[in-house]
Amino acid sequence: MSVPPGAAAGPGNPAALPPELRGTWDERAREWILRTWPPSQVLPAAEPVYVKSWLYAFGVATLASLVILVVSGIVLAVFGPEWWLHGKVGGWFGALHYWAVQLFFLFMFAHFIAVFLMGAFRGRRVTWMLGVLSFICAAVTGLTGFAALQNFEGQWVTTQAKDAINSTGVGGLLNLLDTGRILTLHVVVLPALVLIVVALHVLWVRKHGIAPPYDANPEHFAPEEGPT
Amino acid sequence: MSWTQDEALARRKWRGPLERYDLIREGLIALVVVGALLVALTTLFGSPKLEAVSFKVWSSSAPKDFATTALSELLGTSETATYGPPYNAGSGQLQSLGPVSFQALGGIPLPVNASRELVLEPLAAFAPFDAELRRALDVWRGASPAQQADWGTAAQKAALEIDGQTVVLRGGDAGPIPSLLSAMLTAAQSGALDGQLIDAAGRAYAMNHTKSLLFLEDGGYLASIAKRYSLQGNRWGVMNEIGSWPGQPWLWFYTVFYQIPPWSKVGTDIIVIATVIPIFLVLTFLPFIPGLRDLPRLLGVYRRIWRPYYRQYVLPPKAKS
Repeated sequence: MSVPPGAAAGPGNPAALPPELRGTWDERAREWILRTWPPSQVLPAAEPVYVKSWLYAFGVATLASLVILVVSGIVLAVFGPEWWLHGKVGGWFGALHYWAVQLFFLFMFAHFIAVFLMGAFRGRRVTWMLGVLSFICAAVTGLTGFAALQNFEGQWVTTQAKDAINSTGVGGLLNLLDTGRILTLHVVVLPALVLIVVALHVLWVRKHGIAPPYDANPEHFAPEEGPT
Repeated sequence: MSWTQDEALARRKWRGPLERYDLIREGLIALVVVGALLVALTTLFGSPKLEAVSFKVWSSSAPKDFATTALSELLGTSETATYGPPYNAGSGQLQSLGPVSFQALGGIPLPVNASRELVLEPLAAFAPFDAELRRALDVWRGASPAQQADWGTAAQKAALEIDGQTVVLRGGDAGPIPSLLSAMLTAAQSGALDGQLIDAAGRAYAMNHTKSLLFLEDGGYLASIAKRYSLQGNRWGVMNEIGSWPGQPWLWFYTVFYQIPPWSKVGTDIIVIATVIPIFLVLTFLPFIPGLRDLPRLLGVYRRIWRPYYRQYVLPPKAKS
């Protein structure tokens, strides 16, 4: 059945559509997304007053380092190993990528300590677990980055780390000595994994909000429990 | 307040006082500040750079070490030749966790025959240009395994010396082995052994350096450079970098176990991995573990973090009463 002429129906107002055009997977997904992450929560105009400490800045500093890591990584990928190994400008971008990963982990560690001391996992267990998972994914990505360097460090890191990987029985799957595989894993697969997990972590932070202080004033909360 | 009460309160929607907040603005400021810091660090300190070790560099800088390593590859006594899975059926580097060896269970997906693939096949590529090498290869291949073993034993007992590009084995009859090793040394010092002959024999491209890196690691030259920069396992290993640059400090949670007993005494990777995995599982599921999840409240650092909020909005117990 078609939509009656003159009805205010359409993609912008699906509620006005006749019942037989409702309930598509697209509509359900859209409603779930909007219910879970309403725009006012994703990009809020205000935050609770307790979100004041400098400790909260470590999370966003980690994300800023990640952005620069990705951008410098894209530049390195475009120009290739010869450029970053033997060129002056390439070497500078290689160094930028190197320092970005140092700061990324430094800020991530500070963020981890801060959220632990704040007990930020109260009511936010999935957010915490995604955070730990993002560290594990990032550590593996970092290791493959050093393995893909194609200089002495690359040779030393790969030949030393291979024994640990081999001891687990997955040496054939993750062969650090296969430069081609490690390079593509480091440039494509693992960063994608890190970005997905970090994005989910951030989305869960936006979904549940910033954890409140211990012993906060009970009058500052809605009477009902929020989503878990 | 118990954990259950803490969590129940934390799940409730905040309806208390708010402050102006601009997420995009904060993100951009962080990007500019972190970006400026990174540009400064990059420009001031650069990054560690040490050229990769090639067979040419190795055989020219430490010809005796190279020739000794090539001999061990030929005779099947090197670390690679006796390694075990995933390279071969040896047991030299086979690790087990109690009765279980995950390494053995993984099979041999990356087969490497050290004698054939690291020495004899590369040499065969040079044989058409070298009559002596051709003869030496024919003699070696035509000999019985027992004869090869006798020559090998004699070569291992002999004193290995380098005379220009010639490998000399003093004492005993090592058969064609000195000629084979001399040809390896000549090929390596000329640069011809690098890359293609070992990793991509007969192919145009090489992106897999498994064989050449295994060969390189079997020698002492790579490790001697690592020792100079304190990169060895007992000095926190891959966490370090050459010079004063930071390496991978985020791996401290892993490499720390190689430094302390009993892990440092056992000396196997699988024991460390078997320790680190449960630690990470505990960390991941920390919000579910009574006692550990209460640590932040017990430590009490949160009182300092949220002091402004407590002062302004939470009345002290006396005032409440």
